[in-house]
Amino acid sequence: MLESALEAVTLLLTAERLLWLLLGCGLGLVVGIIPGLSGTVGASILLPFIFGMDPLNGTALLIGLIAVTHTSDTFPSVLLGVPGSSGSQATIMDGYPLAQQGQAGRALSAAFIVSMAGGLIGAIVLFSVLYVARPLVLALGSPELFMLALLGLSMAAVLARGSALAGLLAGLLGLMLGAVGASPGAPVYRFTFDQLYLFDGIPLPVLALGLFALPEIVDLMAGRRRISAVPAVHAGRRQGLRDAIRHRWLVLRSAVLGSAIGFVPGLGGAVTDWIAYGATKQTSRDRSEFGKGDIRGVIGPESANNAKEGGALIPTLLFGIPGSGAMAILLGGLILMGVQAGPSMLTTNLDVTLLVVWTLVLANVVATTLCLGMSGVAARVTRVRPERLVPLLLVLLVVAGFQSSRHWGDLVVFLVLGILGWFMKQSGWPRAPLLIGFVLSTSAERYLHLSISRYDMEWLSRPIVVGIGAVILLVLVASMARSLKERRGR
Amino acid sequence: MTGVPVLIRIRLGLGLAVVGVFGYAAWAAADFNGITRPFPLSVAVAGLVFAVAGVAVDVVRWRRGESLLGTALETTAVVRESSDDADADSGSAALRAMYYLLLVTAYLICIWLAGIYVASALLLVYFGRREARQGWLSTLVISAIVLAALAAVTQLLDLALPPSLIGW
Repeated sequence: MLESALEAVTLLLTAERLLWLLLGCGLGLVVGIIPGLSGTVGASILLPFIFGMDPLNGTALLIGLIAVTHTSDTFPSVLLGVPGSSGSQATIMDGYPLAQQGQAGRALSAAFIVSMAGGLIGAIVLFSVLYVARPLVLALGSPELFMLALLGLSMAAVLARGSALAGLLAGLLGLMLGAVGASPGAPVYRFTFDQLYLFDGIPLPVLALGLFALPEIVDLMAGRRRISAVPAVHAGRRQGLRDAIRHRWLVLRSAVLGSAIGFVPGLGGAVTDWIAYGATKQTSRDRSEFGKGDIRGVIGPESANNAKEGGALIPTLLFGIPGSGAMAILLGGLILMGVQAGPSMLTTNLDVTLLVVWTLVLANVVATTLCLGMSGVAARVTRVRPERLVPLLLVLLVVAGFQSSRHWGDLVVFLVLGILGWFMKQSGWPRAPLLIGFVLSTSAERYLHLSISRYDMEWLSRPIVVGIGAVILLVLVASMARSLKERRGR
Repeated sequence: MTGVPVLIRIRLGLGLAVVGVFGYAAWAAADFNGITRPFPLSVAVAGLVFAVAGVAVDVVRWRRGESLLGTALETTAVVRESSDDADADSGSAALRAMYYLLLVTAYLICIWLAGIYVASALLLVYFGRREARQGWLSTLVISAIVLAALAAVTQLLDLALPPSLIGW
């Protein structure tokens, strides 16, 4: 295995392959910076060009793009409070407050360094479990997947911060919005008001942009203030590096967690950063600064979202089960290049598999270097006057929002959810639980149907189900107790 | 509702709207068939119960003079920011925010009518002249640069732009 891995390095380190990798990284950087465009969109743009390519070159190109998107998507999340992609939503919670305090450079550099560490850990996880992953993946049936979805949803309570009822309601509202469109169990369309646009459900990027970006833009203008009230701290980049080193165990924990979540097919990549954020908060002694600009709130999710790709590649490559949208595109790309995912990835196509591992490593290093180089200049965005920044952002958001289904409905939903998000923001309703509920809605319903139809109610007594159930209870009880304590404290 | 602070009005209004949403969802979900019903119905009923409880708890807490808002409230929430000073300030902050929400709506309508390039040009000129108080020359130069960048990115990434009535 080690010998094959070293051979794969020589395969990657050719001028031609490095060029494809750099092209993928460059495109990934651009796609990540533009809010609403995810790795899925980027990879789908590349798909037509992949057809007939040499599998090793094509893999370098695709993996380069997918791996880098979750590094560069930190820019809009930290600097503007706008999620760069679904994987950087949780970064807003503390990254944006840090930018408002003039510590954008610190938040960005910490995020980039831990993203690289997370990506490398993800690659190590991928390499280490290539041969032992099969029984693990097969041990997870629909009941376990349903419980994992509920575990993700329980993070709504963690994120509610002293307003558990509002958090729960927001989570339920997210589940409800996720139920719009085709039912996952039968060809029935729900809550569509006979609008063709809603038959496929509300697109996640539109929901995220409307809920987080539009309220921020409106408040920037209405408050007549710059994103950051204090000048950007130029020395922040070194501080970010120190933060990353100081919280190295958090980086490791979150990266392993991210890989594990990515490894579970169908759970959805968008929930990884939220689970990592919730876990970071839950395992921290002093939680008072979370949501107000705690660097750990950036480090946790950023370590996890890059590591997730390594985990997600395991079921994608070995069983042909894509763990996320981007992985589904990668799978399609491999097929277009004549590579069939499955057990052959460990035999005849082992070179492609190992090239994926090394590409993941190199792409993360390249992305971090590029992003760190850009962070000092980018941090200045926080000092631009809102009346100059807002029109540019609006144009960008409208174009980005429209890419989801390329239908006018995207923009209408963007506006409606933006208004809802603004009201939620003003009145202390946490918006993150709504997003989590939305992301998990379809998979929760699908796995619940499957569990009941296959096992009736016996699925409730499966050992892993009981174990995950106990963790959920623990999370909920701890959150409620803390919520009560905070309220009494006030 | 006179005498009720703006922030509380927003909170209670949102709570009541959510009660309405879950009420409608429960009513609609009751008509779904077979396996498509249990999930949305249970979520809607749970949501309705919690939403009604939420509004009731908010009203009781407000009458007792307790805080309704938890710590989830973001520091950049413009109405909250102003309410620390006086309710009149938070009212005017809310009005300003409504104005900008209307502006976004107008921008979208303009895109629908005349296309994104025309609408964006108008938006950039409006913000440049009225909000940023820039001169005509810098406003036009910035607008031209933004529109050129938009055209370039659209071409490079093969992005789609919203169709309009006029077709630009």
